[in-house]
Amino acid sequence: MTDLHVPLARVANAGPQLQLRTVDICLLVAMRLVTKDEVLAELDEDRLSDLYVRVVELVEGGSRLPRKKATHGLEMLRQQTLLSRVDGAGLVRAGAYALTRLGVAIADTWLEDEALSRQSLVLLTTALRSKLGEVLTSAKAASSEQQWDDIRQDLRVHVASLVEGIDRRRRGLDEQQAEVQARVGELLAKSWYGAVETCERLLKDTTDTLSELKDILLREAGDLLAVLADIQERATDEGAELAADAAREAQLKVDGISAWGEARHEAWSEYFGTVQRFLREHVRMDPDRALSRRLQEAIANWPDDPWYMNVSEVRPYLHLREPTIDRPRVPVTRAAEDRERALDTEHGIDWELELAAQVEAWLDEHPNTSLSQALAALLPAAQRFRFAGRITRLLASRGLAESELERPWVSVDHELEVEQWTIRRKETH
Amino acid sequence: MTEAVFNNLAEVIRDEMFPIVDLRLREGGHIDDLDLEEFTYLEDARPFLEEFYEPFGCNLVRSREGYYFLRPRGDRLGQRQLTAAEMLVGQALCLLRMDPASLETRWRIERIRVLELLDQLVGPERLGRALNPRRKASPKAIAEENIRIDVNRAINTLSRLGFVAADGDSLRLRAALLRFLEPLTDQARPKEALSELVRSGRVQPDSGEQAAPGADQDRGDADRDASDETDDEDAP
Repeated sequence: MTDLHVPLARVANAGPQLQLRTVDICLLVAMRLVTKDEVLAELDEDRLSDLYVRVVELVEGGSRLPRKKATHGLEMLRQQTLLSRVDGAGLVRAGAYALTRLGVAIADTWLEDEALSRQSLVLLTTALRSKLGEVLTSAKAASSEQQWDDIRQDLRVHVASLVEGIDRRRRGLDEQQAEVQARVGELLAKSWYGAVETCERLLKDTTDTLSELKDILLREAGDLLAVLADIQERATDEGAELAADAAREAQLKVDGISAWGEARHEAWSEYFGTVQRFLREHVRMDPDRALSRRLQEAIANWPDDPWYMNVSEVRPYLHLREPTIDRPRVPVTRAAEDRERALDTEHGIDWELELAAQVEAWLDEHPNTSLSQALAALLPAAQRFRFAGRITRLLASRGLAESELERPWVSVDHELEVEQWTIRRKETH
Repeated sequence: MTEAVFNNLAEVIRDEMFPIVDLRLREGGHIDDLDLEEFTYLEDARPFLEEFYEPFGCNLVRSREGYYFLRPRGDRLGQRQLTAAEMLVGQALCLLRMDPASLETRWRIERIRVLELLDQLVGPERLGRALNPRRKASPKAIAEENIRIDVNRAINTLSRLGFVAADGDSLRLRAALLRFLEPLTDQARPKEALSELVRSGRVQPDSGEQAAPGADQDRGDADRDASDETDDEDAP
């Protein structure tokens, strides 16, 4: 894959910016046209300023301060390296200016005469073939490194520039095709049946051009590739790898142009077929364009007078089931039973009475006792805190409770402590 | 003189293209020269296949524009009507095919163009009802989403039937779309032209039963695929 780092770093370091108005581009185009036939493609400062004023008049209808505007505009173009001073005299005298490579490229982009035509293609391929013939002759005679280097230069500079010439014009032809397609659409939309002849002529012209170009490219590309392959083979045999690489690169470019010719011809054929069909099915069958209008109305007024298209539809096959035998349905029955059951009687134990009896018995046996002793004897294993209070209450009601002023805390067992009281059994009468 | 590819019906049926073409035609498909193999087969086998489909109660039609389809004359083979949404979308696609602007792209358009055209011609308020008369009114955002769903569903069905070739968001408008022009071709007598088409069984006018398209639309393709289960219940 191409390494982008170095070239991008170089461009980014230079920090280029382009800011072009229509009038600036027009000046570049005007300068390109004016200097085209001159020996030196340059203009002195006065002529350049006059040209700028003329361009401003044509494009913008003039200016209040034309000279000032021209000076400023030309300075902007110089700063953007679209114009360069070429006389090298500095401030000594008025300068001469020429378009830079960038300026030429921009101007050429807007000039229309760069499209590939039969004449320009024949001219370019003939020049290319002639140049390659010379290179091949040199390759046959080459014996030194210097000679192979000259061959490499020839391939890199002359052959590559001729191939690029074809390539640039190829892009022009692509643009022309796109324009023709847009024009056909516009003509039909505007004039419908009235545009048929014009459209057919446009189509025919472009088709003829493309067919010729394709034929020339196919024929010429074969010859050019053969010569380049010969040069490459000789360079490889002689160990001139750089020259062999240059020949290989040139082959790739020629191959690319040939492939472009075929691809464009194929794409145009599809377009040509589509337009011919459109003219046949729609324009000629409906010269007044009434069908489009009716269809448009039918959609807009839907669902007034609607209709529905019938299409065939496959009925799904029916799946047959296994046959089943119908048996008489016997209801499931059982004897009725009473779901309500009689209630059982349960005699519960009155724990209050039980506890009271135990306390009574304890007091009978121990008429003089203490709270801690009674609790130690009477507390059940579970719910000890709950029963401690209840037993205390029963002891207090059944006996006489006395205590010191300062009641000591005594432990009943390892987990319960109570204030100590003395309990004496009440005498019953 | 070129030699005939097929000499009799047996050879036509034995050809490997027969089941492919036969199924597509029976499913309501339209075949044009974009399906080169099927189209070439039909061109070669046409006289024999016309004879073959006759007892099924349908005609193998080759249109003037060069596409094939089956036109049922009765119920022997099975037929259905396109739904309201399919009709509207089909007519919009047909209109787009007749637009010179679509030439530059060789009759390829974006899906969104259909929606835009319908929106422009029918109007956003009526479009939802026109596409699906049975659908109840709903908030604007939901109604817009429903319209998109209806249009996309209709496009998918029309694609299956060979009216368009769908490739993601891109649609190739095919010659069979011109069927949507049939009742409009007789400009002087459109009513008579429609009656003639109804008599020939090519189209169906609106009637009380025409609510069915909406129902059919609601049912959707997925339900149609699941029709085997329903048929099991109806089976003897």
